[in-house]
Amino acid sequence: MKIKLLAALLALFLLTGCSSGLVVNVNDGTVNPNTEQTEFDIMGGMSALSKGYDNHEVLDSLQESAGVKINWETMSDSLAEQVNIRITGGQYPDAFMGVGFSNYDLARYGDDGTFLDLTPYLTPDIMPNLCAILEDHPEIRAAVTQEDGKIYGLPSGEQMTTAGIGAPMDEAYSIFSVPQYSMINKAWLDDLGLPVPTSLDELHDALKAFKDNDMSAKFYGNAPGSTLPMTTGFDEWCWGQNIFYSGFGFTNWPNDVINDIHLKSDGTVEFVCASDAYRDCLTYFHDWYAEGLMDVEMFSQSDSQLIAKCQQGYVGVSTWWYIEELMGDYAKDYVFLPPLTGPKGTEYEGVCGVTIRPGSPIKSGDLCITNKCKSPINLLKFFDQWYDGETVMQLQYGPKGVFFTGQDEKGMWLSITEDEARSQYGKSAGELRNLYEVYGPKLILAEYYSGVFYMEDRAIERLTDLDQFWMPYVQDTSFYPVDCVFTGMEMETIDWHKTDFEQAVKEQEGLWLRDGGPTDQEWAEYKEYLSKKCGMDDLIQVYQDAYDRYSAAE
Amino acid sequence: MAKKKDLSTGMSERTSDIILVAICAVVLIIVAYPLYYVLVASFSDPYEVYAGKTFLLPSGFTLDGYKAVFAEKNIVAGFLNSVKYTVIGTVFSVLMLYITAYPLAQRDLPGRKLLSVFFLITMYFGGGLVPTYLVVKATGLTGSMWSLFLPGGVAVGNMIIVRNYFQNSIPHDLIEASEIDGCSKLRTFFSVVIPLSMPIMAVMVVFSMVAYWNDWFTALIYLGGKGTPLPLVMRNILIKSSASASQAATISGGYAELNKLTELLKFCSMIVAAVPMLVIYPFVQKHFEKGFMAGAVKG
Amino acid sequence: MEKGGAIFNRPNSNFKKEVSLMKTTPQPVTYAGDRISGAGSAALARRPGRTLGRRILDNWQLYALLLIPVVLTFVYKYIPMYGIQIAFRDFKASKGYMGSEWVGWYWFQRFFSSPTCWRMIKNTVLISLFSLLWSFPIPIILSLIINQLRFHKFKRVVQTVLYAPHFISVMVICGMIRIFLSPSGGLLNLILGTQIDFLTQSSAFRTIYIASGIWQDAGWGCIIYLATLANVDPGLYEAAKIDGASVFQRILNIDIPELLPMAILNLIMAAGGLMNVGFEKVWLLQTDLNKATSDVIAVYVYQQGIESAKYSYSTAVGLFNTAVNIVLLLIVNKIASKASDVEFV
Repeated sequence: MKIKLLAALLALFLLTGCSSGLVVNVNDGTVNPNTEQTEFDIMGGMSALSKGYDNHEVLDSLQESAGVKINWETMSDSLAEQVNIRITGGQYPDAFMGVGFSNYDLARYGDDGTFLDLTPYLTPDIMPNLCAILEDHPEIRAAVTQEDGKIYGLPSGEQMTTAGIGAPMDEAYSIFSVPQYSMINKAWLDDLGLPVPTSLDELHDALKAFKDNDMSAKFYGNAPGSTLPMTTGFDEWCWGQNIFYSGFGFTNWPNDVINDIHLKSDGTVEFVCASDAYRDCLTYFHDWYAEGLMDVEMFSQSDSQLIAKCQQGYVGVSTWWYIEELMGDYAKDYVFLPPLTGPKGTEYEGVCGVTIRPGSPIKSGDLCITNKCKSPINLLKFFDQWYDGETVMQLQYGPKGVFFTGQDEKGMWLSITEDEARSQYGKSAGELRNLYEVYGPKLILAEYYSGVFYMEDRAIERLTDLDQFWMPYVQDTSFYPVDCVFTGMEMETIDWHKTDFEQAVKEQEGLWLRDGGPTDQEWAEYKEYLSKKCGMDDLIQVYQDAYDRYSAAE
Repeated sequence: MAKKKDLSTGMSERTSDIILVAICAVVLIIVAYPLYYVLVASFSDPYEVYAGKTFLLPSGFTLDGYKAVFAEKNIVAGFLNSVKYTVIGTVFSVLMLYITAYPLAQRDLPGRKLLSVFFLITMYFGGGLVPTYLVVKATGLTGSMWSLFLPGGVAVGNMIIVRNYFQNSIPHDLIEASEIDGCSKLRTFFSVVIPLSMPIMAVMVVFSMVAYWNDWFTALIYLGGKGTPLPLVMRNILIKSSASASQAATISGGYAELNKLTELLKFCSMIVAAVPMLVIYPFVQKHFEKGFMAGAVKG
Repeated sequence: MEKGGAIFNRPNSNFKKEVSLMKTTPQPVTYAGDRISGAGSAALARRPGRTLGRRILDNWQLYALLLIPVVLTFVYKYIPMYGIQIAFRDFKASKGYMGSEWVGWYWFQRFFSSPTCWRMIKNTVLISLFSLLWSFPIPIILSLIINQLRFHKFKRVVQTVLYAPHFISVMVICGMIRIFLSPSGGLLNLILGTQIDFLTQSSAFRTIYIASGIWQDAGWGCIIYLATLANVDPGLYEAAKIDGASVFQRILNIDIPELLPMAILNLIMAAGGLMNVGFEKVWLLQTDLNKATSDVIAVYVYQQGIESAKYSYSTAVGLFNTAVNIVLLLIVNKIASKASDVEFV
């Protein structure tokens, strides 16, 4: 009896296994002409502060004009886990929005037919707005096209560059070019009669003076011994220590391609973490750490802890996007600390100093249509409306009449000010924006900032700082292009090695910083480990090949 | 229990009392202080907390965290969902434990060993997340409340504890008496075993109650966003846009302020999620003691 | 004192059966307990001359009770085991189990060639063993002490407070650990007068992990022991007091023997979950510099499987983890049964 039951259940199970194996591969390059389905299920991510997508003014009007109804299933937490298991279980919706699939995922789900190839649908009939954009920007089309010529998702990206503050389009730099702005307490320097440092050695002496004179206690009246001469995160995005490495000719920003990658001006790819400059750099900064000039907590603190310390007035030197946000009430005492010359003076000078990192990539993982969708045409018509300046502006920030208060004489939309947001909605402008923001295929082109709406004040401030203060220090502006397209094999290699490689490098970097730089033997072993175990050689090959193809196509 | 004092051992009793109370007092402080700290922190400015300024009293007193928690419209719904899942789940789980443990406690049941092994294996081997998900889906449970209970089946570890309790702590003479009276096994189960096993039932009720109350992962995977329980609502409140790399949200500024709320919510959400259990617990504990007393009298 | 005799004898029988269940090779079961304490009922049930069929028929009600648990366990625990095969396949959801390509030991090879493989295995085993070593005896000691408390109000307060940490989520616990251990204003550094970032010291990781685990769950672990101790016949204590036994002697001679079977049961069950290091806590306490001791398999499985959806790979690694676990379980089982043999026979 038990055996019969077993057989029956097993049969049931095999059956279900098979039925999901019978998926018809529709990616044969033709358009599915069906237009019967007008109600769609979409699963996706949203901001934790979002009010949700039901009864969302902007989304509702877009649905109305496209004649579709969408049932949203959105979440702000554990999105990847849920999406993965739903796809595996075969219980997925008509489309995924704002999930941010990686190119590896896209290729995988595209190959097995789960995601539709959208290439045939990109016609002026079905998607007039997007086609017009792709016409003007072939590089966007290239970025979202897989190696086999297929496109599994609609493009998204935010081209926030110095073009937004008037730089010529072809000389513009991404707002992410230099993510960490270092800052120093000028009031303390003045009190000690020191100038703003121009070299790492001078900074070292200034930090030492901060510590020896216990400036936090002396100047701000904090508890004795509370002075932290310098505190940052460790290899963190906008609050890391990496800006200080520029004295050794490199800045290994965390980035979207792979950490520590560097494209030399001659077009060859290398990893700075295996260079002699890198070794010298870690050896040098270990001395700072050992002298107590760098915060012992730098390797484990969260950004909240960093902010807490800075806003208490304990800190001499740190890094962040803006001085005001990090330093709070003490902000007026701080000034930007420019990139500094290294201890070996001219040896590294002129090599590259501050390197810049790529901007945010054009991605295609934010809207994917699945094979459950019977009428892709109807759904794509809905999303084509997103590729319009005023629409995408409202999806990114909030509706007209709420976030955008009016137009100026040039027809540019003006966004709500901080004071207005506080008095009308009781929220900061940032919170207000989070309330309305929709995650999805939003393509915010650089030209929108000069023809549709003004960039946020903070972004303008930051870009101005970048343009005026930081970019002049950048001697070599080459960086590894974030939109390189990889073959299936290359993606396998990256998938296999990238995480191991990045983690191994970061761990060793921290250990050397804290415990003392490598001996010759340790250094040799480390390089051996990266090549043999972490696939560094393969990775260099992959990134070099992809870049060579990319630059040949340019 | 021992209310009268034995004079001959009075001295050592007193000394040992003092020692025992002292040990417990130390343990009490070690355990209680961090709890108290969380409570204080939930009323404090998180940046002051992180700067090490909060120890005994809130610093930078604020109610913002609780305001934000209770402003969330889902919180009542989440709370009610959690109550529902906890009550139904606990009844279901304890029922499963009992109907499994009782037969397996009968030493003369043919096939008992085989059946025990059948259950035991599942303690150590499992199919993993995906295969289990596929079965749950094939049986049509996804999206339904039952996906939280049925796939858990029998909690084997607890089942063994209950079984051993049946075997060892229920007086055999009572069971024999019942059987000699002509009661069937089932009758004995209801009239003798269940009433006499209240202490262990109370323990099992507490175990599964807490497990269901805190469970969010199962709900996350199987419910598909419908009928979200409280821990998940709390998580959603809590997980705010962090300063992750490519999120341009940080450009908007106000990050420090937003982040402050997030940090504050960590503490508040813990208090909000734990308080219902802590309030209920003393009541259940009373039942514990009643159960123990009853057992003691009859034993 | 007849009752007391029964109490002292029970552990052995109880334990023997547990052990026999765990053994992979079947071996004759000795129902010692039946003969000693349950002689009457055993005789009642096993009247000579009853055929197996008759006995099965007699017990139909019990089988009926078991029907639902057996079916549920079979459906939701056994059928999914069929899916373990994805560890040997390149599982693609759209192709199903059988349609996915068979890749043999590929995923295992990949795991063993990953740079941190051996470190993860070593750390997982060590954290597990040390956790067991420390967190197993403490609830027993605590419950022995609490059980002897004679002030009811105080006893209840102690119990309630001790259980409370169990309700706190892992995320909050880890946040608290970070605050308490912070080198800037953290309580521990203030007390010690030092400035050490404990979370970046790989030598401190296991201590942090285990100590916080004890803080959180030792009180909770007492529940089951206290319930067991509540069963002790008060007459026994009275008798012991009249004999002039001190509290310590009463604990040693009455309470500990009463707890032993439950303790060994718990030990074996804990051994079964040895390699199941809670991934969330390790993950939240991991920093770049303590990975030498905090890099464990569970975190890796989570990252690979649930986050990156490499289900085949994570199943393979998880399977390896289970295999190691079963080896450890058998070892603990062996040691436990040896120790108890010395104790009881």
